Parts: sequence; structure tokens; C-alpha cells
Amino acid sequence: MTSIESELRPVPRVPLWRNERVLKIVAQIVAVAVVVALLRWLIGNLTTNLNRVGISTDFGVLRQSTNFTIRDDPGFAPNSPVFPNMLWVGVKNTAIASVVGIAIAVGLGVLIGVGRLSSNWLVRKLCTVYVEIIRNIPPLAIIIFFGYAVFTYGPFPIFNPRNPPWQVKLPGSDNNFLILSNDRWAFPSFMKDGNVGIFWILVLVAVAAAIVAWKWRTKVNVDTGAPHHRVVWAFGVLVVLAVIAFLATGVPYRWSWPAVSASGRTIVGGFGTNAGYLSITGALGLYHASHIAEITRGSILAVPRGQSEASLALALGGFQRYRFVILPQAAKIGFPPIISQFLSLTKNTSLATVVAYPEVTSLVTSAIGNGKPAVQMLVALMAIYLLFSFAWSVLLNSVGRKFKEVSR
Amino acid sequence: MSEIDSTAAVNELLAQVPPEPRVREQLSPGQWVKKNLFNSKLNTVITIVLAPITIYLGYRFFRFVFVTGRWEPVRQNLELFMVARYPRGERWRILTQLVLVAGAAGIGTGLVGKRQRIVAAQTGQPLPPRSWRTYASSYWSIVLYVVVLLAAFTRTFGPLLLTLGCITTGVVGYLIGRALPGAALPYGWTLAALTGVASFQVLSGTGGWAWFFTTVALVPAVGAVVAALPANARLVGAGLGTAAGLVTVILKPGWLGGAAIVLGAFALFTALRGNRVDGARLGLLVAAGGGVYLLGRAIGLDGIDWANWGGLHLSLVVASAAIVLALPLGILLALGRRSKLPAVRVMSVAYIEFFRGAPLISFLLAATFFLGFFLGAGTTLSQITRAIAAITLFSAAYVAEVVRGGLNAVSKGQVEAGQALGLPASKVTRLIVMPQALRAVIPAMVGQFISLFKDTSLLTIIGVAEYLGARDLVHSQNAFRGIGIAETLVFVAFGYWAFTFTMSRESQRLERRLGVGQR
Repeated sequence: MTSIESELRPVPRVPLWRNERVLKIVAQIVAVAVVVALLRWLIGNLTTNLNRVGISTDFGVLRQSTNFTIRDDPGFAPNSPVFPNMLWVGVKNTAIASVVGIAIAVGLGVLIGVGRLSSNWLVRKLCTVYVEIIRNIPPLAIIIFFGYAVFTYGPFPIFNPRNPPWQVKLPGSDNNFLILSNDRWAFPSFMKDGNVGIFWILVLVAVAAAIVAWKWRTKVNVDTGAPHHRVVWAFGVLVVLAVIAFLATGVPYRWSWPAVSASGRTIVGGFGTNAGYLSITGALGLYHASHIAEITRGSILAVPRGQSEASLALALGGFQRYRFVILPQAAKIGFPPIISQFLSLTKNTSLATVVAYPEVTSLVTSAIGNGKPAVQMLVALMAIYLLFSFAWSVLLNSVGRKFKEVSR
Repeated sequence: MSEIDSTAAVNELLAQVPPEPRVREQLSPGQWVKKNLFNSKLNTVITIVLAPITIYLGYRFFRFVFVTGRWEPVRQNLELFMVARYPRGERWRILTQLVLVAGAAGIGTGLVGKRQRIVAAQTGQPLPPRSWRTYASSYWSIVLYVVVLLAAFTRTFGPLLLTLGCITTGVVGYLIGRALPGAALPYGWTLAALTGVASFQVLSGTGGWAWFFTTVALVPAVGAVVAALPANARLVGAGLGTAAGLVTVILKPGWLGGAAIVLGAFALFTALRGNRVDGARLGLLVAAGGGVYLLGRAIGLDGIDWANWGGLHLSLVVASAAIVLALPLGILLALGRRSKLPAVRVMSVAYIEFFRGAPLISFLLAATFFLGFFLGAGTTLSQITRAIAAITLFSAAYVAEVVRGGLNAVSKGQVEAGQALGLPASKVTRLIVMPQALRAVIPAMVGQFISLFKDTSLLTIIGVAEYLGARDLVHSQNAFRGIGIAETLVFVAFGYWAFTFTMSRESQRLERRLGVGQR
């Protein structure tokens, strides 16, 4: 009896110090406590030390004025350049440089990546040489090369009244097509002239019409099996309607040609850019193109060879094979690493401080150089980059999810 | 910066691509040209357009290098590019260090080859194929760099002698490594590690933690000694640790002596409880550590102030120091990120995402402006210490992601097998998961090192004269103000390219040899 009872008795309770659940909770509490204590110690040191040497640790300084002006930014009112305004200008410039850099990098990178798989020996070797050289050089060296060897000390003339920049005229006209100097370039651009609002409303209508055309062609294709040609149709509708709208609203935009001002110091008209912007976008575009080329090549090679053979068996041509079989699958493989390149490029725009392009890092560095407290400035800077990273990773995740749904 | 993502991703992608069978076709030159340049209408057009452009660009490049290039700024300032303002009277340290590093690398290479042969003999598998071609395809760029330096930019015979010295010690080290009998391999590893530590010693003096690195270098040898000892002698070894701890605490009271005696006592306790091997190992290490520490204090060499370091030398030192320091931190973070404890996981993720989310330059600026304020009052840190700290914290996040990839690659069955053997979680991680995970990520880790090496160029922005920053010193001389800007940049880029290209080739070779991704 007693033995059976003893066997039926519940297992003796595990003591607290060996209970896994308790141990886990204790371990977490200890870990959090250690980290919190460490952070408190560090931040406590920081505030006491900063207060000791009389540096403000108050984030109110972020609302003060910045005491300096930003080159080439008329929108940044010089009489009230408060810090949030300055950050906003910096964020805009970072975003512009990133987007343009990404456009260059993707265009060039995909081309070179496909070129490395070309059947033409010359193309293959040129692309390989490009990738293997550019990928192994620090981006900062490329940026400095553009900023100083191409622009500041480069072949272009110094811009001053006695020494006019190169002005490339359109043949048979007096308008400058390009103005080139060692610290600024100018391109033609558009100028508002007339009823812009109505024109853009009409363009929206054209977009809607293009979407309708796209849906209609898709439906025709689904119902009858006839070729849809929806890209041609939609694009055609859009262009034709937009041109009609442009003419009907009385040509609301006109060319604006760049010209050297009467004083010979500035450029009027056109779209003027400075050497910093050209350096950062050009250098980062070239540098990240080498990485995107590798991703492109890797993704195309990673598509199983059976897919290619199957499309040959279906008698698809070379273009069709790429367009309908290989590239869709390669894109699925290559998109996540390419988007992480976008993130990396956005972070690399911070190197523009060496070529004085007013993006957010160089503005913050200037503000610190002007006596602003470094801690608050850099915390704000890191927060901005974390937001950029967050934006890219949201995109990355949504794209990743979309591809996961597609893949089986 | 973070291009590791793409490099690793691409290498992973390419690892999945089955290698194409290499068929060497015999083509006449005419056939070759037709097949490779004019095989379709489009390719004919491309070739006809591109060929003149390529020839013209090649011609311009040739002219730039050999005719128009003003290489005087580089030739006159090669020292600045290599070591910046390292004091002249102390140059012998760098020279000795280079020679010693070559020796350590030689011993290490010899040992690896030796071990491969032993393993091949034991398992009956063939040795990995090797030929001069594979070595040439890995190392031609760095050899080219050294040859160009010696042939075009040196003005004395010193560098040539140094190169010959390095080659000699490297070869001697290799022969030593190869000649060691199988049982002596652990001593060989200790020899290589000690040579490495000695090279660092020569540079920075016995100050700091040199005794600690020396003790770590002794680990393989101590293990081999303990394995060879009879059981009773092992107990003596453990006791020796306690004795050494006592001596240390008498000669150097404080936390160090205290730690020595606690560790020594723990070693003896372990040995008495029955685990004599572990006890003896720990005891002998404590004894060695105490001995080295006291000896180092007795002979003492003054270190060289970090502030005087610079040039390519500094770039390499910073990159190596940062990867060595970031590796343990990164492993911890990776384990934390996979931990079953939510609080630990959240904190690791927060760390990783914070450091991956902002650019390195913001951390370098933060380190420059206020890293010292985080520590106790009165702490002064040199600019280079700050930079290494920032780069270490930054790259730990990336290392963590690399290691995480390796951890994910270890199959679950391995963990379950470990649990089935009754191993505690810590031993499963340490003995089963980690070795496999780290082996799988060696190529990705090399990629991380490459990107770290390129990132050291950012030190220029915070005013440190590393390899790229040495340019500023050159062009601030009156003679070279605004002269040879492109030339110095091309020279610097050539250096970075030579090192990173070699490393990436070597990592590809490693990847093929380890067969990563082919399981």
C-alpha cells in the first residue's frame, strides 16, 4: 500500500533555484538590470561631465538658430535659420542625393550585371574589370576623386568674372545647352508659363484613361486570347492625351536655358547644380552600381538552369526567355539584396561632408563646428538616419512579403 | 559600409550555382574571334562600337600612368602614405613587426598545410588540389602592389631589404610549421600566436594588456602539456595555479591579484572534484598569466603613442583590431538575438538595428566629440582609440548578422543530437553549434573584414592621417598644393584595391575549399 501511495504521490516540487521558468525570469531581470545600470552609468557620466565643463545637455538648443547659411539654398531663409529648418533642408538634400544615386546605380548596375553574362567577350571583360576595380575601392576615395580630381582641381575652368565657364551652345541657337565649371554645372530646365494647375489636372485624367486602357486590354486578352499589348496601349493613351492637354492649356511650360549672369559670378535660368551634388551622386552611383551588378549577375545565375532549358524546349526566343522566364525569377531572388544596397547608399550619402554637399550630416557637422552641443546634434542625426533605414526596411519587408506570396 | 550584405548575399547565391564543367575547346584565333566577338548582328555592332572606345581609354590610361602622370607627390612622400608621422627613431619597431608578422603568417600557413595532410592521411580523402595557378589568382594583386612600390616609388634600398626580410622569415616560418611532427601542432599554434603577440609588443610596448594576449596565445600549448601529463601531475598543475595566484596577490594586490587567486583556487577545486584535465589547464594558465604579467612589469618597454600612428599601417592595424574585438561581441549579440529569453532578444535586436541603421560616420563623430565623457571624469582617449571603439561597436552589429546567418545554417538535428546526449544548453552551443556556424561563415566574415578595411578610410573625416588621410598631409606641403591630386588618389585606391581584391579572392578560394553552401 504505502509503496503504491508513494509512487502515486506527485513528483516533489522542483526548488525555485532549479525551476526553469523562474530561472528564465530571473535571468531576464538580471540581464535588463545590468544593461540599464550600464546605460545609467554611461549617461550619468555624460551629463555630469558635460555639465562640469559647462556644455548644455538640454534638447532646447534644437530650437535655436543655427548662425550660418546654407550654400545654394534660397529656400533656407537666412534671417531665421532655426535648427529644425536646417535639418529639413539636410533631409531633403540627403533624399535627393539618394534617389538620384540609386537611379544611376540601378541603371548602370543592372546593365553591367547583365553585361558580365554577355556572349560578347569584350563586353564581358569590360564589365568584369569595372566591377572588380570599383567594388574594391572605398567609396570615400571615389567621392574625393570626383570632388577634387574631377571638379575642384580638374579640367573645368574656375568660375569667376574674368574666367567664364565653358558654355556649350545648341547648334544654330544662342542658348546654352550646358554650362560647365569646376564648381558648378547647369542644365536646361522648364519654366512655368501659364496655367499649370489645369494642365496637371488634365494629366491626372490622362493617367486615369491609361489605367482604363490597361484594364481593357487585359480583359480583351483574358476573354479572347488576343495579344494584349497593354504597355503600348496605356503608354500611348497617356502620351497622346498629355500632349493634347499641353497644347490645349497654351503650352504651360517653356524651356529655361542657363546663362552666366551679367556680373559673371552666378548662373541664371536653367537647373544649376554644384560640384558636391554631382560628386556624391556620381560617385555613389558608380560605386553601388558595382555591387548591384554583382547581385544582378548572382540572381540570374541562381535561376535553375532547367528553367532556361524548359523555355528553350518551348521554343521561346532569347528575349522572351529573359523577359518571361529568367528575369521574373531573378528579380525575386535579387530584390532584397538590392534594396539593402539602397539603404547602404542612403547611409553613404553621409560621406558628402568631404565635398561640402549640404546633406544632413555635413550640416550637422557644420552646426557642431559653429559651437552647437554635439550630443543633441548627433542624437538628432542618428534618429534621422534610423528613420531613413526604417523607411527602407518597411519597403523591403513589403516586397519580401509580396515575393513570398508568389513563390511556392 | 554594409556592402557585406550584398557581397555575402551574392556569394551565397553563387555558391548554389553548380559549377559548369570546364571544357577547353581548341579554337583557332579566327574561330575564337568569330565566336566571342561577332557571333550575332547585335554583338558585331557592340564590338565595333566598344573596341575603339576601349582602345582609346586604354591608351589614355597608359599615357596617364607612364607619361602625363605627375607621380612626384607619391614618390617624395611614400613614407607618409605608409606610416604617416611615426617617429623616425622608432621605425625599427614597425620593421621588426612586419618581419615578425610575416614569420607568424608563415608558421600558420605551414601548420594549416600540415594539418590538412594529417587529416587527409587519417580519413583517406585526397588533399584539396592546389597549384601555382590558384595562388597566383589569389595573390597577384598584392604582389603587383609591392612590386610597383619597390620599382617606382622607393628611393633607397631599405624597402627592398625589408621585403626580402619578410619573405625570408615567412619561408622560414612556413618550413618550421611544415616540419613540426603531428603531436607538436599545438605548440606550433602557440608559436605562431606568440610571434603575432610579440609583433604587437614590439609596436606598443608591454603596457596595457599584452600579458593577457600572451597568456591566450599559450592556450594550445598548455592544453597539449596537460594532455601529456600523468594524472597526479595534473593535480600539481592545478595547485600551481593557486600558488601563482597567491604570489600575484602578494606582489600586486588589487583586482588582478584577486582574480588570479580566485581562478587558481577554482582550478584546484575543479581538479579535486575529479575533473583534473580542466583543473590543470586552468591552473597552468593562471600560473602562466601571473608569470608573464610579473615578467612584463620587470623588463618593461615604453609604448608608442597612438597619436603618432598613421598611413597604410594604421589602416591595417585599425581594421585588424576592430575585427578581433568585434568578433566576440558579435557572437554574443547573435546568440542574444536567437535567445529564448524575450528581454535578451529585444535588447540584442535593438543594439543591432541601432548600429546598422545609422552610418558609421555618425558614430565616429560621436566618438570624437563625446566618447570620453561617457567614461569617468579625467579619462583621456586618443583619437585612434576612439575610432577603434566606434568601429568595433559598429561592426559588432554586422558581425552579429553574419554569425546569425551561420547559426541559422546549422541544422536543428545537430542541436537535438546534442540534447539527446544529455549535454546542457551551454555545451550544445559551445561544442556543437558554434564550431559549425563559424566554419560556415568564414567567407562572409572575410567579406566583413574587407568592408571594415574600406571603412577605415572614414577616419580621414575625423582628421586621422590613415592611408587615405595621409593625402591631406601630402597636399598641405607647399610643393604639392593642388598638384597630382588625381595621382595620389589613384595610388591610394590602388593600395586599397590590392588588399581587398586579394582578400576577396582568398575568401572565394576558401569558400570553394570549405564547400560552404554545398551541403
